[in-house]
Amino acid sequence: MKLLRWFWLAATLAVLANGFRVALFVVPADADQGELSRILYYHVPSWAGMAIFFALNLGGSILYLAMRHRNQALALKADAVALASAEMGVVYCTIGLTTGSIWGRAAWGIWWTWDARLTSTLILWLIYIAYLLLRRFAEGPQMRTLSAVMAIFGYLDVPLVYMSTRWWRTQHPAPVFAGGPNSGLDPSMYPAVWWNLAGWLMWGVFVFSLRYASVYREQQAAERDALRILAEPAPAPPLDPSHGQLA
Amino acid sequence: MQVAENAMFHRHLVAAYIVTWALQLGYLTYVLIRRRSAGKSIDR
Repeated sequence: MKLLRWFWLAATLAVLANGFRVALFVVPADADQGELSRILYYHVPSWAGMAIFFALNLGGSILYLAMRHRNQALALKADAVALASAEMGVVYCTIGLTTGSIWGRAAWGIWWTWDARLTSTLILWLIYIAYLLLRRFAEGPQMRTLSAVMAIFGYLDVPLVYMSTRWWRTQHPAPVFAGGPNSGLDPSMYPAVWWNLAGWLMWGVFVFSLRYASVYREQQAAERDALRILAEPAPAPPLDPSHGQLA
Repeated sequence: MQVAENAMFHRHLVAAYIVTWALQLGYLTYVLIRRRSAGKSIDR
């Protein structure tokens, strides 16, 4: 496991380095936006990462709810997947929002606009921030169940974000990928997209695996503590001195 | 080479790339700190 993790990290860094090289030095600049268009090669992988890790969060949450009374060990693993993937997804979402805002400032002259794509994405970000806050500050056995239910409802916003540029007129460009006729990139730009997509997804898998293991260990420690407290004998009740009997 | 020089000095492009790396490395640092506090290093 240790060797595999270091190998994975080395491969990830190599792919990211090549992605950086291809994005900046190999593929041509966009005919309209020039060098600015190279933000795309970091912007798009962040949304792909967000979509994948929020879907993983949904899967973990559903599995937790299905298994919490039948298989406690599996349910705890599913819950650890849900938490680690939600954090990873929020990181990608934050990157997407920030790089998009920087791109918008340079291309449109504004940092932000309340169009359907940007607003639905901001709401999605806030939903998962609320999910993480619930997990951080709520106590008790119901916390995991509540957060799993919240994750399922929160994920409903993901297809809304994806379809927003198709359903409404937005400041954000129409879909570049799978957007129908007259959409898509010039074939000469695809190598930069694929290398950076692969690199950032490999990075996400690496960090997620570290976080998942850490969360799962914390959960096991908490379970052990709870069982130890339950196993300890209850303290004897104090004697009532006036009657010589138990109070 | 002209392409590369222009790309390297486009400030919005540089800002977007730096933000991406900063957030990813920042989160990795958080994960490693939490991992260490749980008694594990990156090796295990």
